[in-house]
Amino acid sequence: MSGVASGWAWVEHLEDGGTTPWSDFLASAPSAPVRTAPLPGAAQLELARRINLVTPGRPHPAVTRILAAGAPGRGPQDLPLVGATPPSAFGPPPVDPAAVPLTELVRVASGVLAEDLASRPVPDARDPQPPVPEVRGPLGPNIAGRRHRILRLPIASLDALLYDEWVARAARGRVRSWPAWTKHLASADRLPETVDLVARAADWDRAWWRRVELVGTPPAATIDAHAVAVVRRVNTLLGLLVDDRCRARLAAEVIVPWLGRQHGPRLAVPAAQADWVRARAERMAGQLADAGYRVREDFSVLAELDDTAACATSTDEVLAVTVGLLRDGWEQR
Amino acid sequence: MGAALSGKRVILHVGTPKTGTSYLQDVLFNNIALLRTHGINYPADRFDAHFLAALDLMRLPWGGLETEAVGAWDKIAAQARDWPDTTVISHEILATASRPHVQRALESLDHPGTEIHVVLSVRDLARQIPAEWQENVKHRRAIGFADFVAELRDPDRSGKIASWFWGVQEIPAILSRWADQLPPENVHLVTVPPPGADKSLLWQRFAHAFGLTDIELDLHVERVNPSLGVPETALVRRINETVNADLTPAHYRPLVRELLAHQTLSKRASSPRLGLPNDVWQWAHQLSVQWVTALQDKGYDVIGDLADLAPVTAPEEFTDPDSPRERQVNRAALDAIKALLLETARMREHEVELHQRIADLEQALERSYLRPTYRAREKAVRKLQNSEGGRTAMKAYRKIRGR
Repeated sequence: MSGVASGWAWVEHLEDGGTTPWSDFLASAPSAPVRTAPLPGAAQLELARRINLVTPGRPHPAVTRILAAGAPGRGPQDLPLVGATPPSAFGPPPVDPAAVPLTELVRVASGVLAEDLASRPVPDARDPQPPVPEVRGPLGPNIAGRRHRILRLPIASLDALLYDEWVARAARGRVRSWPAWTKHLASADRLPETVDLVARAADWDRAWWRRVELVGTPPAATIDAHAVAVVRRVNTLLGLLVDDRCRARLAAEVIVPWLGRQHGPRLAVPAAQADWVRARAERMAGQLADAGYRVREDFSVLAELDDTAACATSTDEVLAVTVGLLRDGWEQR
Repeated sequence: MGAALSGKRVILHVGTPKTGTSYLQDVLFNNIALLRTHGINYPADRFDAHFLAALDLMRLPWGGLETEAVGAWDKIAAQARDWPDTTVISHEILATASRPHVQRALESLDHPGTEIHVVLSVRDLARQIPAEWQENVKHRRAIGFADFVAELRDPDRSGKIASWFWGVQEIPAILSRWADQLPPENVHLVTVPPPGADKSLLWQRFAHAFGLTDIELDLHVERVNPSLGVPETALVRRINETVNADLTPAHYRPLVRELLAHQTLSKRASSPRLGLPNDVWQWAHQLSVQWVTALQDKGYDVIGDLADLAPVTAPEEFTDPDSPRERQVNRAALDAIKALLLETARMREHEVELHQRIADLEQALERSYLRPTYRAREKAVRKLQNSEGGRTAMKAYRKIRGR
């Protein structure tokens, strides 16, 4: 029995909704006709199996797309399936799909998700501005009161405000990783405009008929950092597949609504930047207090950073999000 | 090859990096019109069109440049399908395409209906390893040379550096992906001559591979991708360590890669050159011999000599770029500072010019506001805005004017 024939038998098994791991499957000496297409790589095969694991025995259309996909971006390509590929002195060493690093499964999955999004029909529309997922009081202008006189600014811990701004950027397009972004802010000693409450308040307060209010924001659900990790990967690839206008539409109509429903743990500021964030928060609190705005919150909240949250996502969780998305789509979850 | 073939065909030049590919691509781009009169289509509306096409084909983000690559592969594939004679597509990063990407490429070019030829230009590993390390450094990496080599020698090959290196440099594996579905005579290996060979020899081999020998091409090109010496590469690596967190790719490319590396540091030709320590050279040589053995039985068309891939002479002296002579690095750093100061001065002068232009424009604008006709129109608008009828009339007027 040839290894290649066994490999194609496993492909058939997966296309039919099978979930048997490759090593167990191979032990039963299966065989199927060898197709002319190249045998899918180990990462693609294992990802397909994981899709099937959610509802075993039911073929899922995503499996076919996954098995035909290449892995986008940099990293190993075409990981040969151990036991199904003739030995070769060249190319990457054959691997058991169960041993493929989870990051490789996420990589393949992100590519398929991006291709799926890019292949959606795009109705003609004016340039949309994707809304920011609102989770902790609005970070955009929050104007209330008679004749739009009052600007209400949220007072929450500065790390939470920064996280929300990072999520909003990730939803719209490419953004650096959370550690890189916070490091960049700290090294430039600069807050994003939306989070620089001192500057925003001063700008609004310049006209005599306007007023600024500083309000506390109730504890709200945060956007799951693992969902943001998926969106970051997909958005990077979308840049290769569709133009800016189409990408903005997909963000507004598909990605942001989905992201807004993904509540979960956020990320903490990495330890190396925590002192900077705390110092900026204290400075901000002092400047806002000195400015004499109407206050409905204790400023000390600004500097109360969350040191219980993780600073990085878990690849396991990110993979779980991508598998769920591939199975259920952007609208269902 | 070219002279022996006839009819519609596509020549896919898929690598490898550091084999004179930029020069070839620039010559092809500069001679597009002339080539078409000889039946050869090089479908490119910008010099990097095939680079963008490769990014698109392989779904490869590239520091933000990928947004310019949307649909780039399909565009050149369509042009190739429409051209009745020979089309040349050339980019070295195509070497790393996976099997599904190769499948997509061949299908988009109407294979097997269209005759496809794959050209791979190749150079010995002993020169490719330090050249690729230098290329990594010029693309913001801060990895040291010894660590780089250690990653390459790790049999696992799972790291980004190793997977990329072997993806674009492991000749038998590249050909197994790109040439599996082609007859061996349609696969052409162009070997880079050994050091010290006649400088025109590589071009002659390329010209033969692409059927350009009988065309009077303009061979002058502006763009060069020169190599750096040991202290210069060490300096750029240290710069990367210092600025990577703060300098975006959009600024890194023109300032570090172009201004410092290509335009300034590469001119320091007397510095010691990059090479391999003896033990690494032995390992690379052994590997090269294995590759040559695997390739020579394949029946590929070799333009040059497979022996070029495994030169027998070991390097005479190795200068370790991880422990460069600090005096040499300092001198290179002074040149770099000078270049940055001159560039800053140039930009400051440019800024002054722009400020002057803005001031001129503001004055011109001010003068136009003072014209009686403008003031009359402004007065009319203010008056119209004060009444319901006037506002309706203004709205209708703006609609007619498409505002």
